[in-house]
Amino acid sequence: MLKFGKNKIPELFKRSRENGYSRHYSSPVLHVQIPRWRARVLFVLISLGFLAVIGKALYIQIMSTEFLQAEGEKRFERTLQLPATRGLITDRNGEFLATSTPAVAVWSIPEETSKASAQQLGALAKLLDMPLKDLQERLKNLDKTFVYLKRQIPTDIGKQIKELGIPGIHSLPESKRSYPQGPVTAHVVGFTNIEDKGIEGIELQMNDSLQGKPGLRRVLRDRIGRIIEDVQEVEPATDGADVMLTIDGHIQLLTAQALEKAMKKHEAESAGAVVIDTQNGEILAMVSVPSYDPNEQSERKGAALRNRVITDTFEPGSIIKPLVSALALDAGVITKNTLFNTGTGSYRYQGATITDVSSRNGTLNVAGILRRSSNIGMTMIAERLRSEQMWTVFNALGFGQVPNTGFPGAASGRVRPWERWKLIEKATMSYGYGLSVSLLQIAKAFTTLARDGDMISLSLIKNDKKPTSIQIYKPQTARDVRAMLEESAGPEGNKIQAMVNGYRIGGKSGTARQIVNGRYSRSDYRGSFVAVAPISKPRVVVAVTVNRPKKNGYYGTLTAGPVAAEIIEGTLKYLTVQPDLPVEPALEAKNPNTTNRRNRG
Amino acid sequence: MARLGLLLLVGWFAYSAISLVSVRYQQRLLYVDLGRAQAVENELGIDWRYLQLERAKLTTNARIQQVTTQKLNMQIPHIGQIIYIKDSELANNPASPATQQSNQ
Repeated sequence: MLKFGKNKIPELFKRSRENGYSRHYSSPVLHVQIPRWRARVLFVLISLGFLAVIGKALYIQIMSTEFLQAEGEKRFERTLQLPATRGLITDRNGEFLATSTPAVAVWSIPEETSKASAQQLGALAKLLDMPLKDLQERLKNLDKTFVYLKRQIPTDIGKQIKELGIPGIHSLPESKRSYPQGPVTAHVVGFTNIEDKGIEGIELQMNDSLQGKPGLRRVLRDRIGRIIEDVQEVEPATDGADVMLTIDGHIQLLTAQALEKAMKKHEAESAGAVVIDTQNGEILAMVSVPSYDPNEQSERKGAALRNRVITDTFEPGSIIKPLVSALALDAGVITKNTLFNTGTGSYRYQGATITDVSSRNGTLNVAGILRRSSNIGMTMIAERLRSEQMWTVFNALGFGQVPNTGFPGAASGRVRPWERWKLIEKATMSYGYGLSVSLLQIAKAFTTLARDGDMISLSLIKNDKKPTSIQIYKPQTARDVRAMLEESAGPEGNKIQAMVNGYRIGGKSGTARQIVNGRYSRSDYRGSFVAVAPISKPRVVVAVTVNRPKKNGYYGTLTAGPVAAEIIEGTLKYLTVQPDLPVEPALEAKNPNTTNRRNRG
Repeated sequence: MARLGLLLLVGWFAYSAISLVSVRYQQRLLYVDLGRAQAVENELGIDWRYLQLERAKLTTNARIQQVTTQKLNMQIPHIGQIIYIKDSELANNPASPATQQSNQ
């Protein structure tokens, strides 16, 4: 502020008067005294204004921070899911049986897509490989905000669709499961649904470990959507663990081909086969026909899905005879030389008539009974056994129990408690009627005869776990019955040995009538064959069953036997097992050792 | 003197503030680059999986069998055409490294 001396003021007035300003200064309007309250009111008003601003600032910064921060995060922070890749399923050699590839699902907001030109839609339909009409049908409902157009399409096609730039068309990352081996391993591997969840076979059984765990990543994005920062530490996705099966792709294929051939030849309804490595209980092949292609959604239905080796149970018929004979030998109720007179092939027992296929079996020892597959002979052996004894062994062999291979849908079969067996039932069970088993159970039971009387635990998934085994028969008994099995497969028996080059086999055939409408049918049969090879040092158990053959014979020796022979020869050759039968060498074998030694000597 | 010190301090603060901004900017650029590289990695991973699948499809046992028997006219040898070498013979084989060493 300027300060004027007292004496200067009148002078100023004077001058201004001279300059002609005096009139303004002396204007009465300017002389109005401003009341003091006005300044106060103004002060209060402005203060209130400031207070309001401060209050709002406080409110925003302290009271509603959370809300605002959340809003900010919504705009710039994104939580991304890092997808986990589903594990592979491979065979024992590492061949892929099931593998996942990334794919995309194309979806649309119909209202936005309705602005697309006809040309664009045409191009889209072409890329999606679906008729334009179908596409338009899907886009018809404008009220919907999310419509899948097609799922699981390859990523490169997804990229091309993106390049079309059609409004309202978006894509979501997915993964697609492929089964390179197709129908050959379909029943073992199973398949997943569109959400990548296992719903059959190993895919179902091992779903948890195959699945893996998706990861999380929280990031900041900038204005144009680029990721500029990780907000917190990335939780990486854990990919699913791979599963290696004990199945051997090659043996699986040759088994499948042998079965297919028999299916065609006999016009059978279905067939199944299993190959077990007797050294460690590993399942080398498990095939069920008819099969389906798991890559084709449309084929995944109906009876073809059944893994007949483990889910179908049936009355085994004659293939059970060696197991009961082994029990009788083991229990000491018969010896190898005990003779049984089977008469003329018809035998009255407990009010029923038991018949043999041949009426000229005569007097047989136990080896003969197996060779001739005599039901009467078995009845006579069963007469010497107690029901409880038979039941205990059936139980120990795993009949009536779910096999512990860790496979979904495995059937237990049925063996009734021994207390309720009638004598006639004990007799029929000794030749395989009145109880039901699955093919896998029979094959497993036969490992006792392939090994020295102990039954090995089976495995389908390769791991370091040592197989366990339970002693069921005495080693000598197993060896004796093995020799009988060889005889049974020989020229006096079912003659399957003649179909196998190079390897001695032991095998038992069985032909069981099927129950249709509560009665044993005279037209519906099941032929089976279980074999152990090579007899000198058993390596595999092969079990084959052919269900309801219609042509070219129905006996197990005609339907399942040749299949088993083909599988045995192929498998043993593939496993480089030394032949134990003399074979005509087609090549001149030169032993490098002897020539070398000669040179040196 | 005090004035100069103050000036230097202010200058230092200004410099540090600007470099902070620029470092953060560079960091973001690098981060975007990293993201781009990861996307490329991801893409290559996808390609790899597709190639693996294609290889698996081409090398299925069924296909190999078909090609060898039909296209190449090969066959699985008859058992008589195979010469089996016994394990005991393998041990005496001069070609095996163990015996080679003992020969020297």
